[in-house]
Amino acid sequence: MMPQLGAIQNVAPLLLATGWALFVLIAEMFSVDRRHVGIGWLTIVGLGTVAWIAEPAGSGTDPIFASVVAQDGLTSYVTQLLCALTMVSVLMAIDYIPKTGVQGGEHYPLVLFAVVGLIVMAAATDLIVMFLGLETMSMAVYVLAGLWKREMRSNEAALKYFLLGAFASGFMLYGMALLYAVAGSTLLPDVAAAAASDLPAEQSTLLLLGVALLLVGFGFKVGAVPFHLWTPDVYEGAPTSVTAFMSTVVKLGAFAAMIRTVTVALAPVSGDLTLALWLTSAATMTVGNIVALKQTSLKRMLAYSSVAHTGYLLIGVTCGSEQGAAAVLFYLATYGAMNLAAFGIMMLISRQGSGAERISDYAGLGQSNPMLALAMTICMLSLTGIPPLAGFMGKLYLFSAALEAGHEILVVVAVLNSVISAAYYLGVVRVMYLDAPRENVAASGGHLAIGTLIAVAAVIALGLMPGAVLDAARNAAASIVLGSG
Amino acid sequence: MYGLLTTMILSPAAAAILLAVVPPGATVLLRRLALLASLVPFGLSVAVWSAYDPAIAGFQLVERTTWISQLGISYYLGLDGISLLLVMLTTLLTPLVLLAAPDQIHTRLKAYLISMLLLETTMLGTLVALDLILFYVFWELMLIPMFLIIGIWGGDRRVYAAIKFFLFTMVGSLPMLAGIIYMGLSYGAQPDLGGSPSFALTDLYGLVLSNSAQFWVCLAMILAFAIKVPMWPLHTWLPDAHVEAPTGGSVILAGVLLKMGTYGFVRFVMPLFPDVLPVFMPWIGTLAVIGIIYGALVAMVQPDMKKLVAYSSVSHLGFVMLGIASMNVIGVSGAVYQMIGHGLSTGALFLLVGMIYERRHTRMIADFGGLWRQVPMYASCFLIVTLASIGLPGLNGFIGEFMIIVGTFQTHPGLTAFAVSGVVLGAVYMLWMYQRVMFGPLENPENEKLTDMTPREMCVIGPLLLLIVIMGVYPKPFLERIETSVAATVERATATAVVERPSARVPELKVAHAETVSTGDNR
Repeated sequence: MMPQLGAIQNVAPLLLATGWALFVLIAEMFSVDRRHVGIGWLTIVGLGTVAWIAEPAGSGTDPIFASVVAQDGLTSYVTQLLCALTMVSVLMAIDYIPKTGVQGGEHYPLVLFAVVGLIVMAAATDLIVMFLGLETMSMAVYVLAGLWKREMRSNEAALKYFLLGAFASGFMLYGMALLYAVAGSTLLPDVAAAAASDLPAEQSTLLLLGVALLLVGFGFKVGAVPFHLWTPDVYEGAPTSVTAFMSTVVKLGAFAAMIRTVTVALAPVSGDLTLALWLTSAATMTVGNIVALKQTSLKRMLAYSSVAHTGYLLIGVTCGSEQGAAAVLFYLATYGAMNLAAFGIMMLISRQGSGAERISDYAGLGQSNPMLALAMTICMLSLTGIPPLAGFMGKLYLFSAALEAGHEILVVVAVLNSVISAAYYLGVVRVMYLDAPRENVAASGGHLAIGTLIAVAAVIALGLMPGAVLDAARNAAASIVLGSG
Repeated sequence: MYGLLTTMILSPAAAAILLAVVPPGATVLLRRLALLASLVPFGLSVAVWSAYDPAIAGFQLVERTTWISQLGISYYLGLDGISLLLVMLTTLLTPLVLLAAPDQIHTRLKAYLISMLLLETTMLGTLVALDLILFYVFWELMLIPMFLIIGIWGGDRRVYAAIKFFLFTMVGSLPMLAGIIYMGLSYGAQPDLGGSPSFALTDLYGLVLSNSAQFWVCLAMILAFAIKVPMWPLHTWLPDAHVEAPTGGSVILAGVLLKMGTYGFVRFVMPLFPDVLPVFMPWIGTLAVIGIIYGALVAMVQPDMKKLVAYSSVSHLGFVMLGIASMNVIGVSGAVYQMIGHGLSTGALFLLVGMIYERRHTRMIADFGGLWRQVPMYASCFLIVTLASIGLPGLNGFIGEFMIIVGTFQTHPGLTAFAVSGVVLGAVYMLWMYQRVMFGPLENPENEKLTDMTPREMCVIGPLLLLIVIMGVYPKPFLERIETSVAATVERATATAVVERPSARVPELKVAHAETVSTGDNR
């Protein structure tokens, strides 16, 4: 059957992103600039265009291509947010990658391929297609983590991420196989129908087992406890620009897929999994925060903090409600902005090679570079959840959703965790303002500075005027479709 | 006068931005600019005072627009007699602290002035915010400048003290946030109240929660405010913060920040949870009395003057909390009066201790003695403030304490008996310190070089002494503003006896309003 023109239009963002990735791959071969500034900008333009055309299709909320992808509110929200966050991280990378002494022209097409995979994950209404998206993304990110070819820890990061990622993929695929065994189809509507029907006991056990294994796979990708063990090493070993990308953008795609499958399609059974999700959420934030307390490396601290934020995000998934999904989507925007900003500042300050990764490198920044210190303070306070910054609004909405869903205790756990997190985020502020400066910290990189400025501005704007993004997240959560089932 | 409150709370922040572009080397310019800028909010608060009608109990100068409509959060400002006086206290203390700054701050003056001005914005915002989320925003923001003030310009253990201060307050305020969200959502879940979430205080008055929900939400708020006050046994951050903070920081901390806790009790806890207050108030009263006696006893044995004043705050704020626990108009009015009185006298005490510390670089009582002859002006000012602090009739401390004791005696006579002993102990530690520092022979040769107060220092202390006397002799303009607002609050807090509250409470309030308005006409 010939796909109609309308169907092509509906996957236009995906097609454009794929085509653009190939185009950038070829263009990079002819790039004579060793810093690849032009290639970087080409990537940004491409991502901007993808975001531009990623509107939810009016009538086209129908599933397309034999119902394996849906261009609904969720897809377009996630695509646009993905592109926005990636654009900022690419802008930062333009200066950062040459600064570390790597000729990283391949960085840009790889980022685009990862984005393609993430869009597929968000849009997929078929388990196998979702898996394809996941693997497309993962392969690109495995390579990205090893971009510092000559650095042991970057190689270690790539290998560790690859081995554990492959293992998690196996779990996920097995989960999908079990779901197929029950539903007789990998299409989400069929799976949803099977989940909603009255299954015999052994079948429903199989279904639950399938969902649990699926959750293991997702848990690995988002770094949930106890599948978080790779995060600190990989985040620390990967180039900082890649860490920024991984901790924000990759998480976004994985959570989008999680919402579509676990929260919406498997809603009838995910009620049985509430306790498991609840415990995972509580454990993730607690472990992340407590371990972060002891870190002396800022990059590692942010890695554990990202684990903790995964825990907060899982609150929304635990709710299993539309409000919960909207809160997760909104929190991902706020978290993306503040994390990108923090990594951006880190990249600005870092020198050749390893860079300013220890917290003590920031001593006295308040005096030696007041603007950067102020920006870092804004990021740290936002990550703590101090109003009126983005992180506060994100938490406010998440807590509201959780209270509405009746998870008062989980909110109390999250609140206590926020207090713990204040201790280490505040530690950075303390070092910057209360300690004496050691040496003059020179910040360099025009693109980096602009990227960081955009991210910091977003942190403030999402705190003071979150209305537009809140509406978008709510619409996205309200218009999730599964397919023609 | 729409927009007056917004202008007032934003003016110090605007001044801070202005200061940020001045080069840090231009200290004289910075000082003068900061001082002039801090007179703007003071002038605006005087305008607020004159625009305020003392005969009306409700909120005045209200500004209300939606902020984040999706979550039901509004930008809602307004003030009543209780917040009005605290606003005045804030706008008065800030210029005095900035005026005194050059004597106390010897490094990074620009950053200090900016922090103080930003702190003023957040304090004023906390006092006039009537949307609970907006209140929370200012409440949390207040921590950051204070954290920096203690952490950068404090004593040897400043970093420890600053972090302890921040984390203690945060432990209290985050559960409060959960409680606030719960209330806002419950409001939205009650279809007869409009069906959408709201965090506006006046909307939440109408909220009906089950007793168990009220219990937990109220407990969360009590925890937040009790840490801020601080009530025994949650006071341990206070001596550290006070001892390490620079003088200006201590003045604002004792003068205004601690009052945010007691203010929170009067503004939020009392009217919002009438059904569970009878459960909590006896406990609060008991802890308050323990705080009064404990604070006084610990203050008595302090060798360090600043630490003595810090522990005296624990004792005095115990009195304020006792007044609030009385739940009647006279007791709560006395508590509010005592908040202002304590702000003035303890602020003055910290400033005076700071002045002697700048000269001698010690605050140990044992290092002094016989200062009366050497620095007579200083000693006289110190005497007035000491007497105000122990509640001598004719000075401000007496009226507040007296009203609290009268009010509490009606409801908790047993507790009052213990509390009165706190008055005696207060006299003991303050007068004993005064005697050891000022009287006797001048034995330490170091002290012979001491100079008396400079004109600038007199300008700093003068306004405080004047107000201490005025509030002691002629309390009427203050009390008439306090009492109408307190009466309305107490009425809400004690409305629990009525069985069908939601329908019965609203007409009651209307009657109350009608009465106050009619008395206004009769005047």
